[in-house]
This record gives sequence, structure tokens and C-alpha cells, in this order.
Amino acid sequence: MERLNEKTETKRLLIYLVLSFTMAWAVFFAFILTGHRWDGSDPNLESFVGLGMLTPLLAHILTRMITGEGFAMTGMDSMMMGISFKNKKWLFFLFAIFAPWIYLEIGHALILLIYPGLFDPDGFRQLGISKSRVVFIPIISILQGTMISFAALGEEGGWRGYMMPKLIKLMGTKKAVLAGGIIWGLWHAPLTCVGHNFGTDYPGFPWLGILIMCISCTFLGIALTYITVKSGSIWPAAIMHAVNNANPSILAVFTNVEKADEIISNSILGFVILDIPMVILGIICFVLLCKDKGAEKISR
Amino acid sequence: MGGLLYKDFVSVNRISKVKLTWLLAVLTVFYIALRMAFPGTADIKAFLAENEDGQAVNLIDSFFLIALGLFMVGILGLMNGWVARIVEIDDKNKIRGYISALPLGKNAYIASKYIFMAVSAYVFMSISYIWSISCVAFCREGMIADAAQILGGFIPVFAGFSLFLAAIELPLFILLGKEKAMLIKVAFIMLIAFGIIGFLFFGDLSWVDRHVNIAAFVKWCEKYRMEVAIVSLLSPLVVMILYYGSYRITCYFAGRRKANAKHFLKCLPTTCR
Repeated sequence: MERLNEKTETKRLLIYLVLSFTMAWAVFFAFILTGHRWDGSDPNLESFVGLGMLTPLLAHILTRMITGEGFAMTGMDSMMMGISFKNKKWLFFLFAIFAPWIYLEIGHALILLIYPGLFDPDGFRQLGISKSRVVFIPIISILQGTMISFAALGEEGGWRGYMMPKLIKLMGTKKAVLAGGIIWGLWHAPLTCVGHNFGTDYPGFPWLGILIMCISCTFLGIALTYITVKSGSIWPAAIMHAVNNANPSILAVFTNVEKADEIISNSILGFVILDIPMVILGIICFVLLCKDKGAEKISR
Repeated sequence: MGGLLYKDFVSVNRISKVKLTWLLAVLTVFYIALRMAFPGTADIKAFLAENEDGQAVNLIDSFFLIALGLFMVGILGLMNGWVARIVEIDDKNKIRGYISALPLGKNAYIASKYIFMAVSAYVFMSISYIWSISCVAFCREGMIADAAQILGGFIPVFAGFSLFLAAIELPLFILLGKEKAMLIKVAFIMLIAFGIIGFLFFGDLSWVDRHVNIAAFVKWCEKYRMEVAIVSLLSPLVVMILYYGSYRITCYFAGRRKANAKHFLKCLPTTCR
């Protein structure tokens, strides 16, 4: 019986993955095959390609329609779209809002400590704002991340809302977070190949970029899975993902991006240093997730 | 609570014979497909014009910008009509009587209406963003692209305004019932309409010419981009405080009405009960 269940769950997961990858890659390849590259392309067009982030949630909905799993919003085997603040679950919402700010600020501080030449006291002028308004940058990023979280909700609705519970059910928490991170990283691969996140000018392009993306997605994925499991909802993960993407950092404004190419010879190195605090957070969440039996419970 | 929200969703999901969710999905896909098929960057000569500053303006972009504006205003109107609809259907089917027999908190019914409208505002805000991102992505650089970006920046304000209207209308409809609330609403709308008509007849119309300048507004928004972004993003949060206040007031008066009804029953001679 258990073996039969395992087979059904694997089949459902495969349907989801095929749909999610096909739809997202169709968007990404449409962008690439029309001659666009991530570096130097119009930011508005990049935002449009970013709508590909909605495809995991669409794939989740389509998979449930195909497999007849139903559309329960809360509880076991649900879409985990409900929100509850009971039993101090509101703490995970606060964590989701402020954690990315803290780890990205520390990450930028690390970059400036290792490469002090990158510090530019007039860096804020690039944004066309005065020094007194720099403090508003994290506020805007956090507000944007919290309120305009639909794109990140699109990803989290698929990855944390469907894929992770299935993976945890099939292979247990430890292996699931690793497999989930690799799948999530590979999903970004077409964009990584045209310069998303790391550019195109680094040794080992594009394979090293894809590998680093998988590692980065694994650790961020662990933190996102942890708050999803603890809150029983994908909303904190969606908010954290959105705030993370909005890069709420004051120190980032004082980092001279133009000099970065000269000082940090390898563009991927800057990304790795920036991600160190997030990796530490991922490790802490991994330990907590392994201690907690909630992950197994949520997948049942 | 989930059941109450689903009931409200079902009651507003149908416009005559069409399901609203499907209609929105088809409209959104259609808009994105058309926008991709007719990008403003294609520079088709028949659609190129010049504005007062001599900048080239693609008329295709302005069509899509108008469509975006109409969509946002349409959604505002649609949501405004929902408050009456969800309360009317409950009154017609005596839902409140049934709910009082369910094991729910005493304010669950009122909370469900407020949560439903807030969720709707978030969903519509997200869909408007999809439209706005699609519109801007294929715009030719210049005035229309700037205007589309600014309109996109005001989406949270639209969402906040829809919540603000709901915060005023929900207590009226829940506490007074559909008929009385509609009477007050129509009277208020008539008052505004008469005000506008009065201004058109007797007001100084040159004041509008002197003070309302869209190009100047676009420039002003570009100059104070950060402040505008903060105010725009904060507006739904500020309205949420009012919204919560409105919820508490509705709960308070609904509670008092129940208490008064009980008191009235107690005062009646037992033979009349």
C-alpha cells in the first residue's frame, strides 16, 4: 500500500515538475531566442520575464486539476494558502519581513570589509537621491516585498506549496531539501546562461553559475521550507522571497558596482561573499528542521 | 471561516453567465498576447505621432495604457459593487440566521466580509501589476512609458482606495441592510454628481486648465519618485488601520443591536414572546 502511495506521489511530482519547467522555460527561451541577454537589457523587459515566476503556482494548480487532489487551502495535503497568527505564528511573518534585510546588510558589510576599495560614500547619487533619503531604501524594499509579493508567491506556491511536501514525503527532510534546492537552481538555468545574477564574464561560465545558483537555492530553500513548515502557510516564504529579491540593503547603495568588475576579478565571488550570512541562516534552519518533526507531518 | 469566504467568492464569481475568474484570466492572457504582438518599440509609421515637446509617441502604447487605466478603474467599480452583492445574497438566503447556529466566534460573520474584501483587493492589485508590467515592458521609451510606469506605481493607491470605500460601505450594509445602505450610497453619489454639475455650470472652468496638467504631474512624479513610491506603498497600510477600525465599529454596533434585541425580548410580557 505504502509502495503504491509512493508511486502515485512520484507520478504527481513528475507531472508538477514537467509542467513547471515547461511553462517557465518557454518564457525564458522566448526571451533568449529573441536575442535578449540579462546584462544590459531593459529592466522593464526583465520584470516581464520575471512573470515566469508565476509558473510554479500555475503548474501546482494544473497538477491538482490533473491528479484530482483538490484545492484545500489549509490542513494536510493542502495548498497551504491559509494564514494563521495563532501559537506565535506571527513571529514567522516578522522573520520573513526582516531576516533578508539583516542577512543582506551583513553580506554587503562583508564585501566592503574584504574589498574596502568598493566603498563609495557618494554611491547614493547613482540613484538620484539625497543622503538623508538612503534610509528609506530598505523601507521601500520591505514594503514592496510585502505588498507586491505575488511573483514570489507564484514561485513559493509551487516549490514550497507542492514540491517540498512531496519530496519530504518521498525521501525525508534531509534529502528533500538538497533535491529541492538543486531542482530550484536548475529551473533558473536558462536565465543563468544569459547573465542573470552573475553576468557572463566569469571563469567556468555558465556551469559554475548554475552550480552556485543550485547551492544558493538550497540554502535559501531550507530557510523558506523551515518557515513554511513552522507557520503552516506559504505566505511567510513568499514574503521572505520577495523581500530577498528586492535587496533591502543600505550598504548596497554605498557599494560602487562599476568598480566591482575591476576589484573583484570574478563576479561570482561577490555573490558568494554576499550569500555567506544567508548560508549560515540556512544551516541553522536545517538543524532546526531536522530536529522538528513538523516537516514530516506537513507532508502527510 | 474558510467556508464563509468561499460562499462570498461563489456569490460574486458569476457575472450573468460568465465566471469572473475565467473572464479575468482570459482578459489578462489576451492583453499580454496583444501587447507582445504589438510592441511600441516596433515603430510602425502609421501609429507614430509627435507630442508637444516633439517626442515621438507610439499610439499603440497609448491604447494599451488606456486599457490598463480602464482595467484599474473597472476593477475599482467592480469591487465597489461587491459589498452590496455579498450582503444582499446573505439577506435573501437568511445566511446570518444559519451562521448563528454554527460553532463560530460571534464576530466571524463580520470578519469574513472584511477579510474577503481585503483578499480581493490584494488579488486585483496583483493582476493590475501583471497588466502594468506587460504594458511597460513593450513601451517605446518616452512619455507613454513614463506615464505607464507612474500609473503602475499608483496601483497600491487604487487598492487602498477600494479598501477605503469598503471600510465605509461594509458597516452601512451589514448594520442597516441593503435597502437603507443603497439609499445612503445613492444619495451620496447624487450629491457628488450635483456638485460636479454645479461646478460645470457656475464654476471657474479656467481654474481646471490652469491647475490640472497631466504632463506637469508626470514630471512632478518623476522628480519625487522615491516619496511618491513610499506614499503609494504606504497608502494601503494606512487604510488597513482605518479598515480595522471600521471592523471594530461594525462589531461594536452589531453586538449592541443583539444586546438591545435580547433586552427588548426580556421586557416583553411572557405571553407576547
